[in-house]
Amino acid sequence: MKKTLLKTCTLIFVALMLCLALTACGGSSETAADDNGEKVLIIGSGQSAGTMDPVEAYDGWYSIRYGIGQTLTKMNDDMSISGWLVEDDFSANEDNTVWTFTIKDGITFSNGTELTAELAKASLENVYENGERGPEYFTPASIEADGQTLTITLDEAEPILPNKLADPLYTIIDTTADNSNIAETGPIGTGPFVMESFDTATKECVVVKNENYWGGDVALDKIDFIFTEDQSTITMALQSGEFDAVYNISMTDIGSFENDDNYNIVSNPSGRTTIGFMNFNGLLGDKVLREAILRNINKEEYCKSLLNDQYIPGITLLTSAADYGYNELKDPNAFDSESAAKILDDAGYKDTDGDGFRESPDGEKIDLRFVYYTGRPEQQIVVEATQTDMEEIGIKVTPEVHDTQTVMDMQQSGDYDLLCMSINMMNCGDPENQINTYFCEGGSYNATGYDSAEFNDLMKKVHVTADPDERKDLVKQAEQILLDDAVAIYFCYPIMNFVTKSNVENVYSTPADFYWVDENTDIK
Amino acid sequence: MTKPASFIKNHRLFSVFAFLALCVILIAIFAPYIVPYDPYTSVKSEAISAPDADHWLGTDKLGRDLFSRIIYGIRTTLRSAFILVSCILVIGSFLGIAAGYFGGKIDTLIMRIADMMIAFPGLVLAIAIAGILGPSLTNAIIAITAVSWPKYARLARSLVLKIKNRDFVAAGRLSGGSTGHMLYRYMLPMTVSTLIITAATDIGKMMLELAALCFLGFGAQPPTPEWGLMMNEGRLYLQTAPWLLIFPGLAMFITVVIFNMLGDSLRDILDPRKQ
Repeated sequence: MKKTLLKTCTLIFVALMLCLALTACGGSSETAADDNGEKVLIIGSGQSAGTMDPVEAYDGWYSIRYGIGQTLTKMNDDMSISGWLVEDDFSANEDNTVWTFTIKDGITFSNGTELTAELAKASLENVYENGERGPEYFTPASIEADGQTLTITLDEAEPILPNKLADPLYTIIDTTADNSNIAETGPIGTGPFVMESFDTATKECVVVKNENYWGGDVALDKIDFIFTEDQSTITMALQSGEFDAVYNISMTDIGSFENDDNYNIVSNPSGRTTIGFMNFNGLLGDKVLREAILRNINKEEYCKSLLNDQYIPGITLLTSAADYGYNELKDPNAFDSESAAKILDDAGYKDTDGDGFRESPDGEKIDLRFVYYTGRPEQQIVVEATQTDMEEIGIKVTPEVHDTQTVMDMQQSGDYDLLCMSINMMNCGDPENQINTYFCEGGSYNATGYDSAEFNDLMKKVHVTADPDERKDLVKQAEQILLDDAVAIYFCYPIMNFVTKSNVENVYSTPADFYWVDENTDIK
Repeated sequence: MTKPASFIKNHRLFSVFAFLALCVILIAIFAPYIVPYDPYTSVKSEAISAPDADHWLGTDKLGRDLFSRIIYGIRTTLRSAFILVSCILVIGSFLGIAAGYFGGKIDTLIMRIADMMIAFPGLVLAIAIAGILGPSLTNAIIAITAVSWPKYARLARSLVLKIKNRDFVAAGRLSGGSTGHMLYRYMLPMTVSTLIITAATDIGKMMLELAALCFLGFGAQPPTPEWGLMMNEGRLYLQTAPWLLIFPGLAMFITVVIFNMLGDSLRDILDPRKQ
């Protein structure tokens, strides 16, 4: 008896010690100023660069997001375009084949080098020499520099060239600096911050104040961008005070910040669409199967019940926040559970081996790999919900989670049946480039095998059409073709947010999604 | 007093936990008759509802009944833990007996491999193996088997070494017993009881290790009702729907305690020093 009592006491003691040890791990920290009196901001995010080279994949986004680089033009919140490193008076000749820009005076790179048209030209040429995505945007016949005047000549009309130049791919960097290891050392840009370090393993990036910033004083001394794909970690790090701001708090946790005076929420509808890509090179090459999948996904229910109304149900490729036919276009494969099962029955998809799942008409087993990442909170939910919904109609779907970079690589190589990706279709204030990249023949991220002559022709027309209304009309027609061909699942359109401590000022959430901080970003 | 009654009286602790373990096994077997809802059916409009009269333990992120999933989770957990322990027991015993009986190069080879496996922290190595094999419950079982068999191999080897040179073994050999016969009729029966007791005490631990791998995403995959996986899913809702984490955790805790106590009391009963 005595022994048991002793045992129990020891157990309780050990448990108490464990609790104490765990409590010691928590605790809040004030980050307004560190030991040296520097103003340091810590931002947490589920998104990170693969490298810091702006011409690699979508890595240019991080030069802009981290305030290191800037582009010639900038997309405003109403999706219009104005000058950033160039004056607002940019103009084109009548047929939009020659564009003239004037570089603003007094702009310097962070190393003190003055930005001239010549250096801007070299930076643009670098996109074509060292990157692969440039030709999807435009291909210059020649770029000429004369003092501060930059002239871009093209073989065919480029009516929205200023929009395209606002894409982070065209981040202006100092090509005369040593860029031999730019992937790790980062570019020398014109932004308010200079990269101090980038950890290729943890993806943590530290930027410090650019003492030579051309736009005036920079309020902060340092920003530490910390990456983790774990949604609960970033939420709790903000609550514990470890982070000062967090990009894209998940739909489940945003509620806990909404009525709390200690936090500010900046949010906007964004140009994003959460897309389920379907790979035609495989069983999904059969339109009937794709249609059945589309018809058994109740996007309204997903958004309302599973995503806390923080997302808008998708219909079209382009978000309801932009005027591209969300309320006009007709989805022939809108939610209709009964017809989903019926078209499968009619096409000969039957469960022949009694395992509860259908086989293809040729008798091949169906097990669709649905690749996704957790860096965006909606993905796991929509993928698993799709899995359960497909099971209802006898289609086996197996979710497969990877980190964001791997998923992007898989998207490029086509190593998937279904792949969930959140894409900012409107990142230039115009959807042309992104549609080319993801849906046109030869697009660098179009490994789905989708290749529709009618669709490609329409996008070619969009490319050279200057009239905004006509462009919109053509894009809508292209979107309708995608709907009719049952090309992809448009799950939802996210409402993006940045949640900051209440003492943090000027951290931005914009439709472009890559302007996060600037010289006015401050911590009081 | 009848025999069973006196057994129960003399081994109260064992009897209680054997009864509880039996209950757990029966719940697993009769799960389809116990659960109020299908554990896989998602009613999306009821996602993340708190425990109430309809859903005793609430619903999960896709609107599936948590109680039903936890009850079905017993099946997954028990089945995989039993398979795992059996694999370790069979492989470990076989290799250990072989090493002890044959000695020499075979002994060196098997035991050095065992030493190598033991040199790594078990779960970390299991994570690495499961990571390479790809995430699935079968691979998780393979991974944990790969790191856990040395314990049994060493035990079996030491037991065999103890009896290998005894007179009755020599007598068996002299009377013409083949190697197979010697292993099967002499070595195995002399070691098996100790090994089985060790296995019984290990069931709880193996459940935890499997759940750990599933929690980390290397084991069972959605929509399988598995407690470790369910706890990982619930983790994202820790602040808004804590029941998603608490109830699977509680189920895990209770089951592991029952099987650990059962193993301990079984060992006490069979411990020769106490007899």
